[in-house]
Amino acid sequence: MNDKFSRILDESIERLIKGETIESCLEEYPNDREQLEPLLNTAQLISSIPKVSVSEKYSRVSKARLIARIRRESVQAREAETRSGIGLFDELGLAWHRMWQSILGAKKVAIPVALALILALVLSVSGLLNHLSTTPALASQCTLTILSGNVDVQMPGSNAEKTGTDGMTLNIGTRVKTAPGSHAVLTFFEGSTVKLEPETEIEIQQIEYDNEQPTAIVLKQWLGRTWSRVVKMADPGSHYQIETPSATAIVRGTLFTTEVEATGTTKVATTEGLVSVVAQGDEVYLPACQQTQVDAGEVPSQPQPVPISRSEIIITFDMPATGSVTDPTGSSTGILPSGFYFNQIPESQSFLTAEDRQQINISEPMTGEYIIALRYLSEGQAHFNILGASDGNVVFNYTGNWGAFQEHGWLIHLGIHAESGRIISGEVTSAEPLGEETPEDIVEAPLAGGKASKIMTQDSDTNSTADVDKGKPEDKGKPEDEDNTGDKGKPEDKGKPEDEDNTENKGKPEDKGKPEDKGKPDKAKDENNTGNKGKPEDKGKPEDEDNTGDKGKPNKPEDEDATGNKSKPENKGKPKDKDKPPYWFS
Amino acid sequence: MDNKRNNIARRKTLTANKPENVRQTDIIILVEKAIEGNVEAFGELYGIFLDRIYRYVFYQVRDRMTAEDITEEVFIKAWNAISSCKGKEKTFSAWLYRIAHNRVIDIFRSREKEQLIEMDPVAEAGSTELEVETEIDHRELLDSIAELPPNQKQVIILKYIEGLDNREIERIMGKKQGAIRILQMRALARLRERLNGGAEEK
Repeated sequence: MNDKFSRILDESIERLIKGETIESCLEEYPNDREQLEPLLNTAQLISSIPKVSVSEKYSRVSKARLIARIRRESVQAREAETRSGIGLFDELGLAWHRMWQSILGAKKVAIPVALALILALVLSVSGLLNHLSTTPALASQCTLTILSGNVDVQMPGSNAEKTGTDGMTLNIGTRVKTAPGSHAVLTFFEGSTVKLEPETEIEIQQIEYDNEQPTAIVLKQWLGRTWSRVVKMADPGSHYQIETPSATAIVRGTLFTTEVEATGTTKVATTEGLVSVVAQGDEVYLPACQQTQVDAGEVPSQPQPVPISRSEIIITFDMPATGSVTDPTGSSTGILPSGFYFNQIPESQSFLTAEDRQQINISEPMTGEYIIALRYLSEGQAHFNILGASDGNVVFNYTGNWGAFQEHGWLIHLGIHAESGRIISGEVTSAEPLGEETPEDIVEAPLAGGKASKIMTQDSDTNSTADVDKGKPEDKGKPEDEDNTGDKGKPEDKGKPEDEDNTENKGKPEDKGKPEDKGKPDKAKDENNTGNKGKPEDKGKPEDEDNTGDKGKPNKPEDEDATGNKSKPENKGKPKDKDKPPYWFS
Repeated sequence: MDNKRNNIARRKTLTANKPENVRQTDIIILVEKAIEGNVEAFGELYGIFLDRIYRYVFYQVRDRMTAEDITEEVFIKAWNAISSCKGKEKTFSAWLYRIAHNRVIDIFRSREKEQLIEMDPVAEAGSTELEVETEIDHRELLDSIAELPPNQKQVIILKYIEGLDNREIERIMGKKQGAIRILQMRALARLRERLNGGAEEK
């Protein structure tokens, strides 16, 4: 019976595929109509699922990458075969044994808890061999950003700790330690960032690049919690490796947290991408939203789902606005109009939705003020929505339309009260035009030249050291390579529709202007969730209740100090209509 | 003969490399060349099958970055084992799907055996617009497909997502057509039941 009906079903499906209707199929088998119809409907429904496919750009680049990888591995395999004495696996085993012993040895001496984060960009078996057999050029290209509080640094060869300064360059061997309540970010020359939570201690063990291509970044995490955003490079086989005395984790370009407890336990959780954790010969894979725990000397625990966040802030806004969120610790997640993407807030995400809206998710927000910065790629009005939810219930919901001229923007202040991971209340307390001072404290790390340049700071460069790169205008606004294609902001690639970078700013101008307008617009509060509280003015003629004094003054050139770290080039955005204020809200 | 092969390889570079646009004989020639160590020919095969393998993987893992990683590994594994295709060039496509299937299973072996990643809103974050749209519009359906037993899920993805016919599915899964029809019927019945259940709950 089963076989007979399955044959009828299959034949009917084949007819559907050829273009016949369900009804005509049913007429053929009237006795089976009742059983057949729902299944054919289901089959038709499944067939309606849009078929995803890779972009032409990804196809082209990944093909070149694959061929390069195959060729390189072939060459290395031949080299390995011709080596005398030690076979491939013997050598691997020997290297592994040496590495293992060094880690174990270090543990015996002083490391109750040690986590080496090896960002091995040329890795896999061949990458490891390559690394062992060559001496890549060394560089010290890591920039410290102090988001809040105090950070101590211990220079290589020194036993004394000194106070770290925002923007200083850190050399290999430097230890960085965040004080209680303090937050900091390390930005590497290839764009990866590691956010240090309070009471976290980390050491830069190795930073290597060869011919301007990163080859390895090795960190040792002694204690505390870090949030890593690892840029996936175009290099074939590029992935990353985390090692501890008891485990090795292979990391692809991804977002993940690493926590090292005083007991020696290491916890790894993936937010995006894929992480592989190996310990004592056992391997577990952590796709997005999975976590594992590795106790010293033990195998990794079976992956478990990361507990669902009890609360979340979801912010969306339409083009022409792009934006970011800065949390009470000073950490920011979002994107600049230049396409520069950053993610410093643990477990946060920023991406572009199908409707071409930018969405930022903040998981389990803390009590304090969140600042949302909107920047306009062109003159226009952007619909926004700020929603807070706890345990599946909406706690607050603001929505409205904000307008501004190109290269201007808004700062929206959102006060959050949270307890035990839940949002108790949330309120948009004020909104103001984006001025000279921007909330984000981020470092752009263009790969070319291997130098990191500070492009935005909350304060002036008074804290900067002589080591800080003093701003490279030509480097500003280079988009990161989030789509793993290796196209690091090549102008010709901007705006190509096939680009898969979900956060990429397609063909958008650089963020070159910060308006001086400090006028206060209407508050965006919408406690009734009804939408616009402001007057639904004509979009072309924005209301200007508080900004009257600022009309026609959006175009003053900003800081033209070419040596400064601030990214404040001349404002090139000239409003077309001088009678129109640079901002409006409805 | 060599000239002919070179011409085919060159032509593929210039035209859309979709399996439906490529003759089986051309694929066989490219496979033969790849077996001989021709990396460029393998690159052509990559261009031809990338989309399909990526799609096959994506609808199981439902995360763009993971799907890209797995897809790349599938082709690396295929290259490393390409000599095993000697004499079986016709079934290269099925062989590639099998590698992909095994790789997906490997990736998630550390979870419950053959139980793949379930959809989670966060996993969408790296997706392309179409992928996000797909997830939003068809989340319930995709969730239901994800919960199918592995064999049933494989049939559904191969037939309705990949658009393969029963003979191709037979080659990939190594099962007879009768068994595939049964799997298809059970999968559709189960999906209908789940979707109805979901509708009733709402």
